[in-house]
Amino acid sequence: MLKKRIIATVLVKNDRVVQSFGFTRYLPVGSLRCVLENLDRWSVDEISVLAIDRSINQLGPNLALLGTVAELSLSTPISYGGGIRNAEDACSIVKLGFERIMLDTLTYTCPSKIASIARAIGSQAIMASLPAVALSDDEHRRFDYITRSQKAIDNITLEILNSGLISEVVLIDAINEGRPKGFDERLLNVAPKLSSPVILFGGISSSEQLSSLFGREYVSACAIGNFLNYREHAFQEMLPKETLKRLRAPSYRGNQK
Amino acid sequence: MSKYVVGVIDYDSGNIDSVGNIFKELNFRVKVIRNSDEVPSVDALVIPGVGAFNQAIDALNKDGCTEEILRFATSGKPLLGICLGMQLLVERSSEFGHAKGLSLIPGDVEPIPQARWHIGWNSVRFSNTSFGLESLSDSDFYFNHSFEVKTEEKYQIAHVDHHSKIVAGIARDNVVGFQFHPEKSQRAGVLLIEKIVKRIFNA
Repeated sequence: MLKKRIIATVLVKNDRVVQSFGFTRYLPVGSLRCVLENLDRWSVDEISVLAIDRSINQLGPNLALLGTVAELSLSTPISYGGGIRNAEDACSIVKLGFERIMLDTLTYTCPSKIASIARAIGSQAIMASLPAVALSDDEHRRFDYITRSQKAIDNITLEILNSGLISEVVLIDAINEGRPKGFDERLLNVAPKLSSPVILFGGISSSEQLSSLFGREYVSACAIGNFLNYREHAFQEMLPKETLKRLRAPSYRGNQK
Repeated sequence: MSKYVVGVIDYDSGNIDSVGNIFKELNFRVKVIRNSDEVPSVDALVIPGVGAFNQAIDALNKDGCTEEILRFATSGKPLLGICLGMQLLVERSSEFGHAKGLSLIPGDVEPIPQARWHIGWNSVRFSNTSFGLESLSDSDFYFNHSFEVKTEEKYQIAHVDHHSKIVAGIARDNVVGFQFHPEKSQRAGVLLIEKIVKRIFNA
């Protein structure tokens, strides 16, 4: 049985790891290298590195910084998102040891490029982010963090996300990100419109929340940012007992690979 | 340090460092192969892989690596394919058009029908093989693929369930492939590679 995953999400701004609060306020955490080494040692299911300032500043991925990740030879699956512009960027990232990429702005500004990226690295390697806001149970908006405006999740948006070229959609609670137990479950009503499995991110911080969210068939993973990065056993402690059989058996490698 | 050298083929497919690292942890010497003429110098060869089939086979063909890999495999030296590297071992793939594989093991690469993608950790069942992997059955390994290998049962050495049965490992004599990523499967991945190299090198 395919297990539900808990993804440790590492937010990077100005090439440093940051703690984020609703993508508006940031506190420095430290070097990417140190944070990734810790998460790998703690045997999290998967790591996702998101450089949140690359697209907004129209910068491509910082390949020099990502190259330092390759040197770590991590034994944990890892993905990257932030500023990816084309198939060349995607290939460069995969070559550095990232199994998967997450497309952000490009998904909505230049969706035609997704096909060429899929031809180069395979659709299994492509995720797309959908930052969203719930106005009510039935009304949801895509949050465009470049213009900081809300846009309709219309048929065009859904066609892109359901094109078959994107293997998982990362549904982000753009408002409650960084807020303990903040994830707005009204956003789950977006998921049935999506044909791919969904990863949830933003304000997920407790095992009770994970238990509830993992109860949905379409949720393949929950991504957790701030709440996993500081304490040695935060990941192990957060494993929800109620749904343990749907998760990977607890594993802690410590210093021994 | 072992006297044996494991070659990891670098054809711009990623994961080179992590794949090499798993063998280094087991005290093997690792050589990253960037030129096809380096292939004969190693004792075992690994084809890693993240990406799409036709791009990968084009990259191998461009460098003349395909012929060297085939020569290496027919010499009886051990060859391991990982993820896309396993898919390259069979005859054909229909990913983004049709492309010919290395044809070292009979079989085809086809889209995963129902689920379309198989991404994440899944429990693997190993068949009774000469590699002695049965003790690792039900361990979780990391998968990331949307196409699967279809081959005769006699070449199948591992399976997973994901809506239907998916082949997770294949072998034919000295050629072995795994659909999952041992190099990204933490402790279980190291244990698996350890068992294989012990068997291969009697080390």
